[in-house]
Amino acid sequence: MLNTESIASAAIMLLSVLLLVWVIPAHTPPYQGYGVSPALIPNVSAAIMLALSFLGLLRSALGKRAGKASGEKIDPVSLLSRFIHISKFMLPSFLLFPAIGEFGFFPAGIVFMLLIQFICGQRNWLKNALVSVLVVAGLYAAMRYGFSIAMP
Amino acid sequence: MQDIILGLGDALSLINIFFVSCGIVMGLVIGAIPGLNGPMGIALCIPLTYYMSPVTAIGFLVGINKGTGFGGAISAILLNTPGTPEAAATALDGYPMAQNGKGEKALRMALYSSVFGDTFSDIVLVLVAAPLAMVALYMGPPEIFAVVALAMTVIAGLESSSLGKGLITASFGILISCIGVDTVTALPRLSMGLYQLENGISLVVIGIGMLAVAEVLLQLEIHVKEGLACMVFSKNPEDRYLRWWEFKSVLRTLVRSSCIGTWVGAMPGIGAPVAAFIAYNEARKKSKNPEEFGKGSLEGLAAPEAAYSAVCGSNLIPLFTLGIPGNLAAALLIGAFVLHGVTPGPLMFEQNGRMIYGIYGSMLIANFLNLGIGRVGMKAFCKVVQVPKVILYPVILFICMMGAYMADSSIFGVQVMLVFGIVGYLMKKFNYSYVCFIIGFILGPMFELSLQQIVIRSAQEPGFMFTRPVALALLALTAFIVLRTIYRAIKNR
Repeated sequence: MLNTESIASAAIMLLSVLLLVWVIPAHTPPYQGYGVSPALIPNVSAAIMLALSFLGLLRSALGKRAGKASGEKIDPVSLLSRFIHISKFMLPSFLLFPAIGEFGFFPAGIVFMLLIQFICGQRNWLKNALVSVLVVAGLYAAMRYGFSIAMP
Repeated sequence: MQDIILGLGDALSLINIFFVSCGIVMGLVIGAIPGLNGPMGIALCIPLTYYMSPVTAIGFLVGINKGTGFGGAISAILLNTPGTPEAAATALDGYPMAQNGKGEKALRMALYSSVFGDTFSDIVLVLVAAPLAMVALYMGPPEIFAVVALAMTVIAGLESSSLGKGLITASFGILISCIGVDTVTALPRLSMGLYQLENGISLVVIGIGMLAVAEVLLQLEIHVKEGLACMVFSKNPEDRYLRWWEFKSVLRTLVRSSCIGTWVGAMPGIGAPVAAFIAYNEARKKSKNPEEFGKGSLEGLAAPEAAYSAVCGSNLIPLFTLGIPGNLAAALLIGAFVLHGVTPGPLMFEQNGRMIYGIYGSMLIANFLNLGIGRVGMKAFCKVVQVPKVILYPVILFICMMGAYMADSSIFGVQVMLVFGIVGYLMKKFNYSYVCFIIGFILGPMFELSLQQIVIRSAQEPGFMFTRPVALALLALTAFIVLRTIYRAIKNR
């Protein structure tokens, strides 16, 4: 069993270290000798994140030892199921706009809506198709003719 | 005087009234659906305001915020499922009333209380904001730096389950706000070599991702296939209509609760749910019939409704006077102001006087429209709570994608929005406050700019900070809050 507090603290610690060691030094302009260094605020922010997440991890470990662990307990299977849940919705979402570029707004939009509704549990194909077509056409009309926005 | 007349003229234009009405209808629908709330609606609709005038755009978004006040009460009263977190207190007495067949009367009381609270706080905003902004104009970089530091600490402590977690997310927000061009060197910073990041990340894109997409992901995890059954209304006129004497009997409660809501709203970070529960508690303490609370008391219903609606207007006081958002809805309004080339803060009164009075006018008109639309469409809005989630959430997800595309006019913006949707989902799952993140993101540039100004000035005049007692006092207060929190945490262990 894993503890949610420990997982979150460890992830934030890793992110902070990555920011402090690589991202900030490599992607910040050099100090010009005037005002505050451009790296100061990012470094201080990342350092606060690192210090507080380390404290969180320490507290979680001490609490576990004393039998007063804070945060929920979560098993790896449920963690995996959450990952699958996010992927089910995010993968089609990330692919929608490239698909619009490839096949056009209507086919890609309608397929996206059909798929997402199916994933949500809609098994009535007539309702599914009707909602998909109406939403995609309605949004296209509103954007194109209502707000004069060129849709992809 | 000329600004006031021209501003009110703008507010009374037909196009403005039309869009404010649209905002209220959308707010009522959004608020009535459990899981959706005002800030989410505002985040989704900001891209739609591109083609509106600033007064109409802010009026439209404020209309959404006002509409969600009563909208949230619909599901709280009829289903015992608050549509918004602040409507939780409304359900305490609203639902028992609905169970006794007085659902329609409860809805009417909620509507009148909501409009009363809203109007009260709007009047306070109109009276207080301009004089406060005059004072705020005398604030220099040290005071701004200290106020921002204090506001972030207070918000981190109040909005999050722990100050530590709040500060982590606020720091993360500040870090993300650093992406873009550095203010001093004018060179790209933290852009990872991507030209799309050189202009920074849009607040609208982050708002849609963290508020709307993250909420959709969370709601879909619960996986409710069908909508919920609505309560049946009684046909007895006594159970349907609110009599004048009944309204008069709660008038004192309404005024007291509106004062509480206005005061809470003016304090950055405390939020509408707190106002609703404080007002409920106070109403019970002062009531002649406290035993009726929780069993369908009109006072118990009116108090939280008036209080949390009063937060809506007064949370614009720190936004208009200092440029600091009082809550999430106000934070998102900053995005809308910036879209229209206006920087919220005390200078707004000097530079955009006509617009400010136009917004005031729109807010007051929105209250009357809320009353009218709420009364006419009460039963229709009740049907909204029955929309199946399998239809609703895919539609919202698709609208989010289109909204992000409109906000950033690029596929990259949509991808950033989805990434922040995942980040928001994880934050909610692991109990980290996304509100602190967004506030940190908004206040980050202001914090850095004032720090730069202090350091540059101090290089020429060492000890400059020690000549600013107000800034020093505010910084000492910030340090006191942090140290007290650490002391309490150690003591509790």
